[in-house]
Amino acid sequence: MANGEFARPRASDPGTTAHLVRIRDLVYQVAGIYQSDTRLNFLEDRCERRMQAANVDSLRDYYHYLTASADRGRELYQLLNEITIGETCFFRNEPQLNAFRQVVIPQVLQIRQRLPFVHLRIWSAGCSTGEEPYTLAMLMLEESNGLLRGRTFEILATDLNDRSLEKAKVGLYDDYALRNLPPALGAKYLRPNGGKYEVIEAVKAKVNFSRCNLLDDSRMVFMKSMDVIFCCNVLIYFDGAAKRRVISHFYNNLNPGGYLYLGYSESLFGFNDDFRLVHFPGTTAYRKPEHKPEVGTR
Amino acid sequence: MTDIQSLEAIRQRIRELESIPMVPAILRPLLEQLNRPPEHVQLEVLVQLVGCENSLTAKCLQMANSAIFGRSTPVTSIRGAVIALGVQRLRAILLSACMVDMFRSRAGEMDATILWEHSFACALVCQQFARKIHYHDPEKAYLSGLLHDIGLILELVIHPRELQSVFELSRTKALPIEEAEQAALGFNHCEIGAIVAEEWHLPAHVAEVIRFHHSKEFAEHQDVVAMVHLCDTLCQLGGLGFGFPLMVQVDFVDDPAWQAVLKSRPELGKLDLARFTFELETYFEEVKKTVAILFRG
Repeated sequence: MANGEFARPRASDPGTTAHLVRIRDLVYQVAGIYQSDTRLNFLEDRCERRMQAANVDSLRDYYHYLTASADRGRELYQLLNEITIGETCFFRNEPQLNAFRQVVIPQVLQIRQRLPFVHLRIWSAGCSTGEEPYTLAMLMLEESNGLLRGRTFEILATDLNDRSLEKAKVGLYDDYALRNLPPALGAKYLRPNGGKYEVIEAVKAKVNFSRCNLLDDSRMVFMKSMDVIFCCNVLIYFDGAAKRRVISHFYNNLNPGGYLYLGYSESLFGFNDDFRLVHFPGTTAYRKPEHKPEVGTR
Repeated sequence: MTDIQSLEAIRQRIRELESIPMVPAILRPLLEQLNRPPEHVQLEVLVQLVGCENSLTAKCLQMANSAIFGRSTPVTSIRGAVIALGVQRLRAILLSACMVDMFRSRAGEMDATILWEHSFACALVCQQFARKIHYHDPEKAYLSGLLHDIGLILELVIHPRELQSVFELSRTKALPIEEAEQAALGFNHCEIGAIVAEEWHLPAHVAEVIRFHHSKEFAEHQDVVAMVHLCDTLCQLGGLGFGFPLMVQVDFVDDPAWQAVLKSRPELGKLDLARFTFELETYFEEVKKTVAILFRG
């Protein structure tokens, strides 16, 4: 196995890499989020923070804590929090957004080219404080005289957390949340407001916020006719059965040929065979096949 | 289009390249070693080749001492470097160091490191891919990946300006390189590479990879051809392509190359391609370091 072959952890203990690789593989197997060998130092740093909190001395003991202690579920949740913390911002994943605008939207439109009226539905599932859906709204608005000329769109943004949703609806952000936003878009779609920046009305009007528990089956079956679903760093927190259930809902929520985007280095491997993994420059997504596979061919 | 050359004229140019003093001195015996099965490669000959040029010696020592190999004691002798690097890696390093030197002064406006990064990336990704699917000879995959675009490297020497415009066409029209070449030049790097392979007597499987890695009929060739095609695409999408992103969507499972490999290596069906894609980041870091060493001084 190539894992760890090129890793250069800070610690001098030769066993450190081996323990980190075990923790990395465990996190990937259970949560579906991968830390490449180049990020093992980062993982070590995040584990150390948790080890302090959990009063564990070594990576070896921490691995056991994550696998064998009564608290293992909660601890994994905490570690995942440390891994994904601070990731929420406008234009979080540029390759993903480039592919969305330049390949995914044209693909989705092509499927519908014969229809007289096209209305695109994009869903930001687990939208937190709104950075992602507003980013998508800006990108779509940028295309309103291009790809989306004569077409309409809406962005559904859901989260479980009411406080996050309230903040999202207000649409007020500090510099840190805007660090990746291209200045031209910032100038066009934000206005200064009391030392912060507020998303302008035209953008807010395109985003429809609501509370949704992805594990609520009765709600999920009504999220119909989506073209693209973004669900970044959310599924990692669910256990295997819940994850399978949500993914299966997503599959049904999407139109044929629709796309599911996950977070950076998140994977569905082992959790779903219906979606097809597709590659774009610097990023991947999952696609619902355009045509139903014939029974028995899969 | 100005001075576009016919394939025959290109063959003539490749023959002329041999008049560069360094080529016969190192490349010829090196190519002779390349044609041997791994177990018959002569360590002594490689040590001699490394020793016959100071810059090569320095590069090999530097490479052997780089963090990639995580050695605790530094390598100080040529023999030590040869052993640390391993015969396969050394063959690849020598071959490319040799060609880097040979082409350095001739490359026009284009940055040759881009092509070398792509070549080394493809080599390493092929090797790792081969291991994942339990392919019997990962080193064969490495060498095939390293040399698959030798035609492009030759084009960089022979007509850098034309190649530049091919890249420009590929970037602006989102065309694969080989199609952009066909449109702009009337031939592609696979055809040019095939001439190089013939003139330099490269191993048969490498020649086949060079010639057919963009073909659609993968079932007719050795499975290493299809493997290189897949890994080439993965490298391009992963960011070590030709210096710009090719804005396309690829469903690897639908690719005829995937189907061809799957037929001979059912293990491919169990490959976690998403994870393999995430791992590329690590391989690319090694590649960039290797190429930086090769191009320094």
